[in-house]
Amino acid sequence: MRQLIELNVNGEVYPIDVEGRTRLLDALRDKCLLTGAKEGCSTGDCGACTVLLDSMPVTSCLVLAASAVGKQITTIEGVAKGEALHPVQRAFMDLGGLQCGICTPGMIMTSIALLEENPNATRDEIRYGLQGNLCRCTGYDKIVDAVQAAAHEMDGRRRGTPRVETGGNPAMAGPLQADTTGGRSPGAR
Amino acid sequence: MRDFEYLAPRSIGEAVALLQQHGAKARCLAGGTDLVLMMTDKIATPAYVIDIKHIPELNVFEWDPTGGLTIGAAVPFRILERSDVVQRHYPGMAESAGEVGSWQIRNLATPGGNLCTASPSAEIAPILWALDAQVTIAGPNGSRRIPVQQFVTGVRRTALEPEELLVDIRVPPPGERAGSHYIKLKERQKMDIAFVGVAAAVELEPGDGVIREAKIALGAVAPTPIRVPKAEATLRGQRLTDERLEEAGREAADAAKPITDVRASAEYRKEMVHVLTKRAIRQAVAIATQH
Ligand SMILES: Cc1cc2nc3c(=O)[nH]c(=O)nc-3n(C[C@H](O)[C@H](O)[C@H](O)COP(=O)(O)OP(=O)(O)OC[C@H]3O[C@@H](n4cnc5c(N)ncnc54)[C@H](O)[C@@H]3O)c2cc1C
Ligand code: FES
Ligand code: FES
Repeated sequence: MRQLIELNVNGEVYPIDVEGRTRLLDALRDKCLLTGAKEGCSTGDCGACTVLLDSMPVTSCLVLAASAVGKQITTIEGVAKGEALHPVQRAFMDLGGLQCGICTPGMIMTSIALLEENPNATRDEIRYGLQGNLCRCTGYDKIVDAVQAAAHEMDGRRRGTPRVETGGNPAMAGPLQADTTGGRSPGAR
Repeated sequence: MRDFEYLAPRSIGEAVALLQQHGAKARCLAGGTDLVLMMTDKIATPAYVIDIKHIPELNVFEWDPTGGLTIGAAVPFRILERSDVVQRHYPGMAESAGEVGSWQIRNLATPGGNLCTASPSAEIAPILWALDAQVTIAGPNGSRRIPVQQFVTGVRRTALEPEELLVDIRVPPPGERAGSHYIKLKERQKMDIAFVGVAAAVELEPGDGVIREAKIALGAVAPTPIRVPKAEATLRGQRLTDERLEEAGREAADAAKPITDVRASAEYRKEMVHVLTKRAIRQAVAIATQH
């Protein structure tokens, strides 16, 4: 049944008309014209459709748009401040945390929530946090590198130390190169 | 997905009235991680979807040392997984909550919805069976409370009448020296359904290592989760020895009636029940010993 609802997305109110069955993912893409969240599997398995609902990552393909009324929704479109990319976005670009890019919006949304909750996440904790985000291109190592670099960068900003310029060259990524375990350190499952 | 009318009652009374009005054409919605998929696949085609997440009683998550833990039917797994109270008093429950799907799924999916779907492999079931949890159900004649073991009546079948909804899950307080543990056997680390789920909850006598009470429950090896009274009797009043443990493990394997499917054979599942039951008991006793 058609109904008029208001969604609060990235701090803006979108009055849209939806059906009862309209999923949040479809409302965002087709009604709010925010096509950052991607549809991969539509079964909750791949995480490409991840957005934040009141700061918590959820798969928007399993959420009814009507049930998101009254919540703060954050999509990939809402994480940059004007032209200034979010440190997680910047790190994914700088360190090659993406290839085709389909998984990236979801990957970044989960990573932002992860670092919000655990600013000093270890490689294993990053891998654990990203278990609901599948990537068929990168093999994950560079994604974990990027999230770690972003964590480092965000920590630096909090402490007021200047940003380490990675300049898009992975070889310049500094401390990351020292970790050659790829998250498979002894004791890691 | 067939279209439907989305309804969001603000009280139990309102929800029950809607269920009475629409009967079999209505479906309750908690996290939606089962229902939205069932609707997408047209396995469920309700004309009315009743979102229960706005009802205050269903959002209660409360602990009290004499009454135990109340988990409202709209409380997601993520809350359980992260709760200090759950990690401390019901470690096996925190483990089983943490096993469900991914972070994104656990932010949505509820233990209540897990019970209502009543899949044989339901993650939260074995530990709730072992902890002797109860459920509160509301309907046109008020509310009733039944043991969780009576709530699931078969594969995807529950004791809920069409006009009733699940309000909460109640878990009694653990004893003084109690411990619990849950083990999920799966192929992948995450996002996989259990081949076998084993939960053990034990309580020790004060001072020494004698087991006062032991409760063992299995998931995914029968149409519904099951308890293993024989293995529990083997341990009750005893110290944990290798012989007792072996006997309890065997008895659990005997009680399991698994099926063979594409994921694992019945023989393999039985043998794993044997091994994992021993492991779960040993760990539950180790946790209890620390108290
Ligand atoms: C990617 C993915 C991974 C998953 N992994 C796991 C896993 O590892 N282990 C596992 O056990 N499950 C898993 N599931 C299944 C699902 O997440 C769980 O069963 C979950 O607990 C269902 O809860 P929900 O709140 O989402 O229920 P919903 O989908 O909202 O509802 C489920 C059913 O219960 C009914 N219902 C819900 N609440 C009430 C109520 N209060 N009163 C009456 N009826 C009610 C609904 O009508 C529906 O029939 C997974 C699902 C997905 C999509
Ligand atoms: S599209 Fe939602 S999880 Fe894959
Ligand atoms: S970059 Fe292609 S799926 Fe991840």
